[in-house]
Amino acid sequence: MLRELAFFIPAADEVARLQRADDLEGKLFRKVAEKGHYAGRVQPTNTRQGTYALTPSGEFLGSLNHNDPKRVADMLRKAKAAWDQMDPALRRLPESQLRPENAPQRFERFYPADGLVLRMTTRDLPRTKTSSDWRGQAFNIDFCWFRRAEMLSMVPEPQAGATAYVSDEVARRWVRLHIIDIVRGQSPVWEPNQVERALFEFKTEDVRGDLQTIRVTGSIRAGDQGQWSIDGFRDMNRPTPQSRGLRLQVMGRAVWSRSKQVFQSFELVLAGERWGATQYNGRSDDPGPAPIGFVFEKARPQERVAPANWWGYGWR
Amino acid sequence: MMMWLATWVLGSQTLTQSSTPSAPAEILTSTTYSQIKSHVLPKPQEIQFQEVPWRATLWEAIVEGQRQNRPILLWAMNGHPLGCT
Repeated sequence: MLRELAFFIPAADEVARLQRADDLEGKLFRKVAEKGHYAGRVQPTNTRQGTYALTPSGEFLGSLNHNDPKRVADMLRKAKAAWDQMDPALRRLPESQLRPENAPQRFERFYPADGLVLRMTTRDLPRTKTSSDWRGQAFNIDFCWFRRAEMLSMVPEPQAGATAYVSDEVARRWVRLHIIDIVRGQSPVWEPNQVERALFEFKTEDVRGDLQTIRVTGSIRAGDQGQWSIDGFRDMNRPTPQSRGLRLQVMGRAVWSRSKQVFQSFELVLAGERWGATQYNGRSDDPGPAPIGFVFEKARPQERVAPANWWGYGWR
Repeated sequence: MMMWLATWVLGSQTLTQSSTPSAPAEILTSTTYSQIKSHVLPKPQEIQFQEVPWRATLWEAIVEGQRQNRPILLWAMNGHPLGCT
């Protein structure tokens, strides 16, 4: 870890929401960002992504959009000097602005503490020809949330061979919002009619005392055809006929504590093939078909990052 | 590893580049399960950034910075940096 970082409270966040939100958090971010490295920029996009140093009151201390540790450390040293020279009164917000009613109404407030949170990792599987640069090793992460009732629907009766299925709505949400080729970058969710198959079967394998072992199997198919861009900004105004899809098998195992009514462990592996490209998923030169893998595991309690496509949950 | 890679390659030979596949290769079996899982999951050096105690929202850091009289380092990306980017 950078030594210079120790003086700062580190935060990571999604920039698009901060650029749009009409709450105090968004307003403070925009105040800072419009003094930073992308201030006023509208082309090729209006993104303000990057690394910022700021005071709790929203005063700008420094920024850059680079991952070179030396440059980040240099920015932090300068930001610390600016903080030290600043009138202490300017560093702070009026306490009244930190009242709970000013807290942003983010999707994180729906974090299902009594449900199930899975961390999803996806990566290309080995093949004969692989990119020698970062794309050959790329992976991505997302978080998948289930409310308590949805989690309970995954637990069959505690007799070997008993089966359970999540509702069609939950199974489709799982596929639509989370099982997408995002290995190299973001990609649109599947529309409901593009999910051809979303089968997750939970079968009791064994019951020993308090612990019920559940075997998970299934299969997934989703596909889309139409006209869209596939090469970032380069062809953004020249959509061409495209198709994309996934065809995957599902295997996994979970252990359910009958007394605590929680999953002690939960693990799913999905593997199969993907094809096609979308505007920002970095597949224009690698449309496949090619093998892809996904792993879903129970997230740690401190992992409270909202699902990337949280808006698709429709939770109120 | 090589066995399931070979299964995939053989299964792919009939596929046409950029076309919709007609017959998926069965690459996930009880034999390949652990190999695929371990291949997909990040190696420790790939997730060193997680060693930093990142707060997951700017708001959390604002509240904490105010309480502790400390500045904030914000890493803001299209897609949450600790999730899907």
